Amino acid sequence: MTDTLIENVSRWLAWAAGAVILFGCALPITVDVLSRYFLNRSAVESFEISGFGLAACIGLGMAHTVTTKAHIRVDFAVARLPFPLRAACDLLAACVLAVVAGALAWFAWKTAAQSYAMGAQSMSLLRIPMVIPQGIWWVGLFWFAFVAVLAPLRAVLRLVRGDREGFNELVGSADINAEIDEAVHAAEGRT
Amino acid sequence: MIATALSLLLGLIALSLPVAAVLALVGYILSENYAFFPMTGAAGELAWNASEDFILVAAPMFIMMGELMHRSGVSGRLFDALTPWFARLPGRLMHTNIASSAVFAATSGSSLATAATIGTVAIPNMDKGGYNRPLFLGSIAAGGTLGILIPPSINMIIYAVLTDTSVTDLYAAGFLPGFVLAALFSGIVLVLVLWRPEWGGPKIAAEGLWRARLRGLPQLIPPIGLFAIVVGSIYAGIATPTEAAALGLIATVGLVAVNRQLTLGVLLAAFEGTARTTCMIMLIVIAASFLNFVMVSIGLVQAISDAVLGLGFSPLGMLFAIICFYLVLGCFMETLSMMIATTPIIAPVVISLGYSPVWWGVVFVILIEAALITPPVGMNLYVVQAVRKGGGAFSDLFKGAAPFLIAMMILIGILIAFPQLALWLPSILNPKTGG
Amino acid sequence: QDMPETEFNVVGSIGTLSMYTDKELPFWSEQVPAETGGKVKANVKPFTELGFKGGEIFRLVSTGTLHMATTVLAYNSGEVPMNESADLVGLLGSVEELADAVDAWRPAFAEFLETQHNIKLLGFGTYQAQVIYCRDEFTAIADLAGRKVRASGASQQAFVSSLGGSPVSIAFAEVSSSLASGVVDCAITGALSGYKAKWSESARFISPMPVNFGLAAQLANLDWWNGLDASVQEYLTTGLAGLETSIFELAATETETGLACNTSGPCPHGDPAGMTLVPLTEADETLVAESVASAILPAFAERCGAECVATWNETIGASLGVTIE
Ligand code: NA
Ligand code: NA
Repeated sequence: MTDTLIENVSRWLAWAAGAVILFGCALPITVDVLSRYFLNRSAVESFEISGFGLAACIGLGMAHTVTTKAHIRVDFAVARLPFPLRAACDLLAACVLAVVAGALAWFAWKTAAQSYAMGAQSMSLLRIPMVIPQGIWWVGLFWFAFVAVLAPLRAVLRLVRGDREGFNELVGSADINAEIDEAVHAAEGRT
Repeated sequence: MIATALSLLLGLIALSLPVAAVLALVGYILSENYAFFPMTGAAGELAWNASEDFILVAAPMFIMMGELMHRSGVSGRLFDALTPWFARLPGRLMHTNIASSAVFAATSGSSLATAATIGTVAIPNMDKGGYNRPLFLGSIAAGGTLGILIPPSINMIIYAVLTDTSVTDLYAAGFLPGFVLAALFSGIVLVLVLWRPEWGGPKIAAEGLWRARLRGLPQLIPPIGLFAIVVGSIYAGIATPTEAAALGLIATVGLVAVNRQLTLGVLLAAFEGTARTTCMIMLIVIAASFLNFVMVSIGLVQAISDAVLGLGFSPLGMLFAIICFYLVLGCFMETLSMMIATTPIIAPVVISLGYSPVWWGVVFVILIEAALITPPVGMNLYVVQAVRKGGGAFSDLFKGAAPFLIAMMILIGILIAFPQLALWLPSILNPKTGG
Repeated sequence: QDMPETEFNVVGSIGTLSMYTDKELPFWSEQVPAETGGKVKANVKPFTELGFKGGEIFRLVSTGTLHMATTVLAYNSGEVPMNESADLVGLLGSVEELADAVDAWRPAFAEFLETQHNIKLLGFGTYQAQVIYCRDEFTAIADLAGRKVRASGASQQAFVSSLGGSPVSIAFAEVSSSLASGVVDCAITGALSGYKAKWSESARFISPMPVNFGLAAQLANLDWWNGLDASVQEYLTTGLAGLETSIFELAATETETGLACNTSGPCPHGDPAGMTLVPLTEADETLVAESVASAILPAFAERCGAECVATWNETIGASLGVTIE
C-alpha cells in the first residue's frame, strides 16, 4: 500500500517535471524567439526562466528514477553471479545511491538556505528571489532522498519475506531492459 | 594518485554501482585523501550550477521530441516515400533504412530515438522475407547512430558544455561526415549484397517506379521543415542552438496535433519518459561536475595529462592510443556516462597534442556511435532487438552491426587524413570561430 | 625572513584571460614562493577550470570552503547589491577614474565585508573597459535605438533599455556565434577580448564608451585570515596591493591597445581589424549621463537600501561629485 503511494507520488512529480520542460522552458523560449524576431525585443526573460525550469525538472523528476530504476549500472558481470552475491551487489548499489541522494538533498538545502539568508535575487530584471527556484529544486531532491533511502530498506524486508521477485523488481539490475522499453514505447506510442 | 583514482572508478563500476553514485563517491574519496581543505562545501553550489545551465536545457527538449515523434506519423511516411528510390539498388530496403535514419537524424538529437523510430516502421517489412536478418537489423542499429553525428545532437551539446566549444561549430562540423558515414554504410551493404546476392531482398516491381518516387516527395517536407527549424534557424540568425531545440519541440507537438494524436495520455507519457531520462542524465552531470572540481583542485587532471604526454608518443600515435581506449571502453560503458566521465580528462590531452577541439568533437561522436553498436553494452543493439517483436537471437544484432563498425573506422581514417571534411563547413558558416 | 610554512588554495579569475595568465598565475606560482623562500605556498586555479560559474565564489569564501579568491563583484549583485557600487553601468569613463572611485570606496567596503560577510578585502582588480560592438553602422549612441543588444545582468539591461535599445539575454557561450549569425545586432565585451575572439569579422562598428569594467576583488575568508601569522599577513597585504596596481595598469593598456587593434592599429597582437570607431559625441555624453541619473542610479538605490546609498554618497559619490537623492 505504501509502496504504491511512493510510486504514484513519484510519477505525479515526474509528470510535473516533464510539464515544466514543455510549458516552463520550450514555450517561453519560443515566445522570446518570436518576439525578438518580429518585435525586436525579448518578451518573457525565457533565458532565466528556462534555467530555473530545468532545475525544477531535475528536482521533481529525480525520485521517479529510483522507483523505475533508471540509473545506469554496468551489470553484465554481476548479472551472471548466483542470487546471494547478486542480491548483495544490488543492495550495495541501492545503499550507495541512497547515501548520494541524501548528501545531494543536504547540500541543496544548505544552498537554498544560504540564498534565503542572504536575500539573494536573480540577476535579470525579474529579480526572482533565488529561494523560490532553489526551494522547488530542494523539495524534489528531498523526496528523492526519502525514496532512495527507503528502497534498500523495503528490499531487505521483501528478502526477509522470501519474495525474491519483489526484491528484483525493487532494486534488481534491470536497467538495460527498462531503458530499452523506454525507447521502444516512446517510438510505438504508449497508451 | 592516478592509479588510485582509476582503480576506484573501474572497481566500483564493475561492482555494478550506479554510475552517477560512483562518480560522486570517487570525488568524495579523492577529496578526503588528497585535498587539504574540505571540498564538499562547494557541492551544493556545483549541483545548482549544473541544474540550471541554460545550454543543457536543450537536452530534455530533444528527449521529449523523441518521445513524441512517432505520434506525428512523420517517420512512417518518410520511410514509405524513400522506399521506391532504392528499389533497383541491391540491398533495397536496407538502403532505405540508412537513408531514412540519415534524414530523420537531421531532426532528432538522439541515436536511441532515431533507431527506435526507424526500427518501428522498418522491421515489419523485414519480416515479409527475403532479407538477411542480421544485416537488415544491423543497418537499422548503425543507421540510428547517425542521430548524434548529423545535427542536432544531444551529445555535441554536452561535449560543447564540457569543453567550452561552440555548438554552432560542432553542428556544422558533424554535417558532412554524417552524410559521408551514411554513404559508407550504404557502400558496405552494397558490397556485402554483391558478394552474397541472396541477402539482398526481393525484387520490387519496376513498373510505375518513377511515379511512386515523385508521389512520395511531398512526405519529405515535414522532416525538412523540422530540420530548418532545429538547425536552419541557428544559421539564419533566428535562434541560438538551445533556443532552436525549443522551437523544434513546439513544432513536434504541433505535428502530433495535426496527426490527431495529441491527447492527455500521450502528453503524460511523454512527460514521464522525459523526466526519467533527463534526471538520469543530469544526476551523472551533477556528480561529474563535483568529481571534476575535486580532480582539478588536487591537480589530478594535470597529473594525468602530464603522464600521458610524458609517454613520448607522436601526436598521431597518441591519438591512435586514445581511439583504441575509447573503442574498448565503449564496449562496456554506457555512452553518456563514458562521455561525461572522460571528456574533462581526455579532451585537454587531445587538444594539447595540437588537434582542434571541434575536429575532436566529431571524431569523439563517431567513437560514441561505435560504442552504441558494440556488445555487451550497446544501447542501439538493445533498442533494435526490443523493437523486433517476433524475437530472435540477440547475436543476430551484433553480427549484423559489425560490418558497419568498419565504415566508422574508415570515416575516422578519412577525418585524420582530411580534417577539412569536418572543419570546412564551420569555417564557411562561421568564419571567426570555425576550424 | 622568519615566516612559518603556510599553504593554502587560491581561486583565480577567468583562466583564459590576461588578468589570470599574465598577473595572478605568475604572482602566486613564481613571485610568492621566490620572495618568501618557499615558505608561503599557494595552490592557484582559475574558477573556470574548477567548473564554477562565478556567483558561488563570494559565498564559498564567506563560508570558508575557499581560503582566498579573486571574483568579479558584479557576479553577486543579486544577493549583495553593495558589490556593484563602483562598477555601475555608464558611470565611469576610464580605468583611471575607476581606480580613483575604488580608492574612495575601499575602507567602507572592507568594513562592510568584514562585519556582514566574514570576508577580508585584500585588494581589487579589473578587466579592460567593456565596450559595444555592432554589426551595422551607427554614428552615435542614440542610433542604438531599436537594436538587439546582448546584455548581461539587470544593470546592463536597464542601461540598454534606457538608451532605446532592446536588451537580449543569451548564454555567454552563444554570444559569439549569435553576433555572427545576426541573432543579435550588438554585444558588449572587453575592448581587447573582442579583438582576440575575432568579433570584428561579424561586427564592423565599435564604440569606445566603457559600459562598465568587471571590477574584481581579492577576498579571503576572515577566520582563516585571522589565523595566519602576522608576518604572512603583512607580506600578503603588501604583495596583493602590488598585484592590484599591476592589474589596473594592464587593464588600462589593454583598453587602449584593444581599441587600436580593432580599428586601424598599431596592434601588437596581430593585424589591425579595420573596424570603424564611432567616437563619443557631446550629445552621447549627455544621453548617457541622463540614463545613469534616471535609470541606473535609482534602480541601484532601490536594490541597495538607504544605508548603502549613504555609504555610496559619502565615498564614490563624493569623489565623482554625484549624489543619489
Ligand atoms: Na541529429
Ligand atoms: Na558498446
